[in-house]
Amino acid sequence: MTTSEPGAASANREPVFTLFACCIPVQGARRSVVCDLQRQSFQFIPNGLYEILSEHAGKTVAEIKAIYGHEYDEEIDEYFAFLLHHEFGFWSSDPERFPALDLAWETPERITNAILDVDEGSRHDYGAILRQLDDLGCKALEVRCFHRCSLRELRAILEAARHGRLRSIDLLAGHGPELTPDALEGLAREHPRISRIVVHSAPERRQMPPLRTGVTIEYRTEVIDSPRCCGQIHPGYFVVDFETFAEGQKHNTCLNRKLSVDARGEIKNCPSMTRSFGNVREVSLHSALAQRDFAALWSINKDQIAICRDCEFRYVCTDCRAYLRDAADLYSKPSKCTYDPYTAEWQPPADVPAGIHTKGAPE
Amino acid sequence: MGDERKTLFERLSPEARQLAPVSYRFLHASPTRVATIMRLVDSRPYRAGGYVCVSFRKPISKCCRQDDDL
Repeated sequence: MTTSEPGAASANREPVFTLFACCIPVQGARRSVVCDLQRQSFQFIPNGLYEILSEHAGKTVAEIKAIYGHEYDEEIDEYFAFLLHHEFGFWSSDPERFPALDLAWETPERITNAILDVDEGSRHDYGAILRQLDDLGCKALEVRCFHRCSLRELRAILEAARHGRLRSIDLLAGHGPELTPDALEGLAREHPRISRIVVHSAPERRQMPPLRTGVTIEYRTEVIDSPRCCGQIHPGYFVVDFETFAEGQKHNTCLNRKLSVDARGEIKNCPSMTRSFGNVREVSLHSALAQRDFAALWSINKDQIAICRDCEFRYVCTDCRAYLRDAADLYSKPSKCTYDPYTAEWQPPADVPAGIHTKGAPE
Repeated sequence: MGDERKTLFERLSPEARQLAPVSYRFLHASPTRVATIMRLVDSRPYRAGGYVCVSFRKPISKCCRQDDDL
């Protein structure tokens, strides 16, 4: 080995703590998190540890302890023990060999995901809509049926998607006598693109064990009868993975590359929004997408949104731009988010949001 | 044809199913190696499935309230 090779000079160097590239700290107002994008999990850390990992990255423990005047030596040792325990990093004399991940986000698809809303009054031409989504490269579709559904209706939608390029289909359907666990399992076997089925307005809550193929079937008592039910923000909707984290750096994690067709056929960014880019019976999805403003909201990222920009969950949260705390301000916090990053507490919802009712709940 | 339709994990021998993925073997030197290896082995069917078909992980819409009792 010559001295010009990397690592040659490292033998005598004090090791420094190096985070695995997939373990990325994110600072919040009151606390921070380390997102483990490979294991799809996160751990809370104090902001003091965030400071050590960011401002003092590449320094030895002795140097870090000296920076803090040896006032926190014990805590610093605990911090590194914590990081090792959770396998967020390792000691290395050659940290330059482990560069950070490139968080640039690119995708070849013009549209990556779509929502198709259906109610009793819908007159969708499923074949035409699915063909157009296919042309746009759409890889994931959620079909939301707000009414009591029959298997025949669901099959008609799924048949239209049978030969396309979609990779996953989520179904949300109103409970009806035909939607038994056995029937839905059969449906998932007939259509392997189904990845999740949620039956709303069910008489009781049931979570079926995941099928061998990973498909989940869930019965919920909530009545989800309109797009107004959407926009929930809670940890169940956090996504800790590389793709979402990278997308969230520069793009909106809900609306980016999304296209929606509401129950009346109006083409929108999101069915909860009022702005329509034309009716799917008259305007092609391609033409709607080509309209100047269609992609305007795609680039609103969490670093631009008030309050969210101080939240440690900002790159794992999937946001909402339809229901805002200040309806006149596109850069305000989602109104259905009850997390306060300044106190690091989730508040109980003030009231049941419009459009959501629970069967049997008192008025 | 039938064999091709199986997931990668199902095609592994019983012994191979117990092995940690090669890229993680360096963790044998870690103090938490046993827990780590077992977690990786436990999650292998899921990850093996992931190699075959990458699913879309982001929620497309967010209509369901938080689960408290599931």
